Amino acid sequence: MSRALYAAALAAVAMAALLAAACGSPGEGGVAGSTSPSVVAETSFLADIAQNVAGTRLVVSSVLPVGGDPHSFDPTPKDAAKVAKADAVIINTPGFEPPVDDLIAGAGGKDLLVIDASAGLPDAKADPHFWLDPVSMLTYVENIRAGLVAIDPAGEQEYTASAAAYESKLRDLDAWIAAQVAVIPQGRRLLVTNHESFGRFAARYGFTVVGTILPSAESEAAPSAEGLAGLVKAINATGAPAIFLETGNAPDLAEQLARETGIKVVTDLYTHSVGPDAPSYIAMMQWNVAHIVEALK
Amino acid sequence: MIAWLTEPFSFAFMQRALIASIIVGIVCAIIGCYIVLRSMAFLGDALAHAILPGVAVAYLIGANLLAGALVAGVLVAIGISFVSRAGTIKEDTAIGIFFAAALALGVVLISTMGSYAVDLTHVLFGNVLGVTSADLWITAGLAVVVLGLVLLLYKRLLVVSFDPILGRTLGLNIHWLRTGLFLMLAATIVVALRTVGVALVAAMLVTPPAAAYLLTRRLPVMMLVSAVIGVVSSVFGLYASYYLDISTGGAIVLIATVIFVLAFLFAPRDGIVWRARRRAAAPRG
Repeated sequence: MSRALYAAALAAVAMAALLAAACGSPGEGGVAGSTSPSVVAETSFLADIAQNVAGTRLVVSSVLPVGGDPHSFDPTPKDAAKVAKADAVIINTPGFEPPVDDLIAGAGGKDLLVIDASAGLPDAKADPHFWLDPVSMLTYVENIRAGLVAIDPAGEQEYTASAAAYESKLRDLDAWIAAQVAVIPQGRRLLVTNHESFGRFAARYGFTVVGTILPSAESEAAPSAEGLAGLVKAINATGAPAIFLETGNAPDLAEQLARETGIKVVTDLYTHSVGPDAPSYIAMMQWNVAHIVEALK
Repeated sequence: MIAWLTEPFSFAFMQRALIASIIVGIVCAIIGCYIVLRSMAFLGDALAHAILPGVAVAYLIGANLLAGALVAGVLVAIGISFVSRAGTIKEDTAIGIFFAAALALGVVLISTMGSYAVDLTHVLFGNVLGVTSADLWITAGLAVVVLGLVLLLYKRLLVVSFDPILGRTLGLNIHWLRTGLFLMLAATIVVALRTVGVALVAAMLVTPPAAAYLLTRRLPVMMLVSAVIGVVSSVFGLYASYYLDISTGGAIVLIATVIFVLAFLFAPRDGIVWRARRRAAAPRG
């Protein structure tokens, strides 16, 4: 027994030494000494949209890292500290990103304001990928503006002005996408994607979602043989020209489908995070539309 | 140095993470001794998947997800105990069958929802950094019950686990005690999953008891050593995750693994280093 404890103590000391050697400086939230409210957003594109509304009054940072896979996000204490120190946190919709919901419930302060960016939009449970339709983002902008005014009433004028300016950019984006899509012949406006994320985009711009590789958003649900066979049939029947993968998707199943049907595989659409080629929400949408139009026209 | 030690716990969420991971570390490490000694190491992971149908049904009817998970966990535990009672089907085989069946049932249920399905198990699984006061109370209450039962039924569970024939001659109801043990394991695992998430639970049930088993063969001592390893891993894991900015559950699991590796190498009797030295010394001695 004493030897066992001795061994455990030895292990503890070894770990302590290792830690002391490896430790860097502790994480700082970046709000110390600042008087402006601290606002964080669930994802990088939400942070970008919110930053456009916030203007120069405050800096909005993202809880999820840029490019991180939202389905495998495991927060660190620094992420939790961001939420703990925040006055407001902007989320896409409750239940969309469970680890962030957990941080809000467990780490968030009593006065933390949770801004549900999609509040007022229909059927969040059926498909929460609102942001692939820029017109829905007008609602996001209004919800974010109202939230920022609630925690910082003195900034109301600036927030309202910035929101109006960004809304006109969103309308421009919508018009630009519609013009781009017009190049694609009606019969070729067909989308095959990795998981069910493009429904709102398809509805807005007149596309048909032929099928998805993964049957649902349940990351553990593997596609069934029958499901894949059905997808092959649907691709052959509709003549869908391309299959679109989001950044981080494993390409094996898509390539299998490509061998089976001759369909073209387009990778690296930015749907859940901004990225190096598309550093803002608007750039993300432009990147995606450019790739979709290129593949289908 | 003192500031370095106290700084992480200036955050309330870190304090709750510490308490939660210590409670889970102790309870899982202790009941994990039964799991490791009965070769059921797969149980934690299996239950994490097997609760899916319960969660799906709860979601469909708008009930509490944890309650749904507990019902599913209890049913699976009873099923495992029933199928393996005669000994023809081994426990780990029964676990495999029920886990696969329950997971499939869950996937089928979700596919009938016909809409974008949220990632249900991930909604249920907690995160060490997201522990609420309510989570803490539930976990602490469960810990008291489970540790009380382990103390109360210690002798009987021991006999049933390792010498069922003796148990039968002593007139113990083997089947009910076994089912009771499985129910206790299932309830603990489900609640711990809700509090700290799947990676931490799966590791805490197996790694500390396995390391302890290398250091002692007496069950009470093994439980104690296992609990100490669980606590040490939790505390050091929280510091590592804070100062290195890494996933907290991951850090705790890795530190428990380091302790296991040290025990594997240097355990007084079973460590492979000493064994090698004894072998090298044997011909001359």
